Amino acid sequence: MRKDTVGEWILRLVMPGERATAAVGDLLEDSAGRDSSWFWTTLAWTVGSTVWREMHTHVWRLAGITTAGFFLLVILGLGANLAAQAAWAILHFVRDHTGVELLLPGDSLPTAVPGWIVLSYLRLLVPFEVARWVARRVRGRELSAWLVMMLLWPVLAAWTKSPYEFVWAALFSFLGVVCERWRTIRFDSLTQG
Amino acid sequence: MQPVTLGEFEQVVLLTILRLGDAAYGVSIRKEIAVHTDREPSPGALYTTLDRLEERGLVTSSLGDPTPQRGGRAKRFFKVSAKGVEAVARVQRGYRRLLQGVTLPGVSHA
Repeated sequence: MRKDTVGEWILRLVMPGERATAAVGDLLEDSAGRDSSWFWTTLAWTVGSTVWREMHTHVWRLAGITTAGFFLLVILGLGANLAAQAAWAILHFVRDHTGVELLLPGDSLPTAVPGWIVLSYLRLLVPFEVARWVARRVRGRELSAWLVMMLLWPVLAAWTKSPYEFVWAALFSFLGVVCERWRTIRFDSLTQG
Repeated sequence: MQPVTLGEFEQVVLLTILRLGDAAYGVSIRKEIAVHTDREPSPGALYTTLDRLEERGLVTSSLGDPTPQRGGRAKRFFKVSAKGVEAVARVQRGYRRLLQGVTLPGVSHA
């Protein structure tokens, strides 16, 4: 894949489509006669300064949306835990009262099958979906919103004493943000002909 | 109504766009700034400043035709709006008034 195509895709994560296209055109024109490291370094600086400006200019809006996202994360987590507890109780009830031998390896949630499902849901799907929910509310500023999430969510988790796994949340919320941005780009390119 | 305030780099960018007229786009603005101010702003700093000026209504932008040396990508041309001209003129008038009667040591003329 050509460097300008990749560069444009990266820039489209932080700025509207036509601006990203023009900016990559500028970088391509300016990089004539220079080595390709100049192109990538300048692109990285452009992404960094754009994200910093977005965070700086829209800090309260981004903080508000990502805080709402965090509480959505907690609510979905609690809901999943309650559902797992209910499923667990039903399985035990069936085993104890019908004599049907169910494969229940232990009483603690993480070692059991429902526990594994809940953990996967909490670690993978919830951050992914919450990040997409946040990204839809801050179109064009998805990457800035993700950075605010990564700064704010650990603080909120410590403050509310909620269980929070930074690595899983960072990874899957990033994928959610990129997925939503990609969907927007695809939609824009389809509607623009 | 509060008068529009301008940072130093914002003034440099506005004056450069005014100098370039219809040929003001990312690369030409950067080159013109480098020629006249002995500093080369990074593209990132320039784009964020241009976006901020556009959000404040001090410049407008439009896309030109795609060109082959840019991989078929259009240039984004900038123009200073009437509000931008008024703002930069007011700030420059202030500088000139401040300089009147001031002798800068070691400088023949400011």
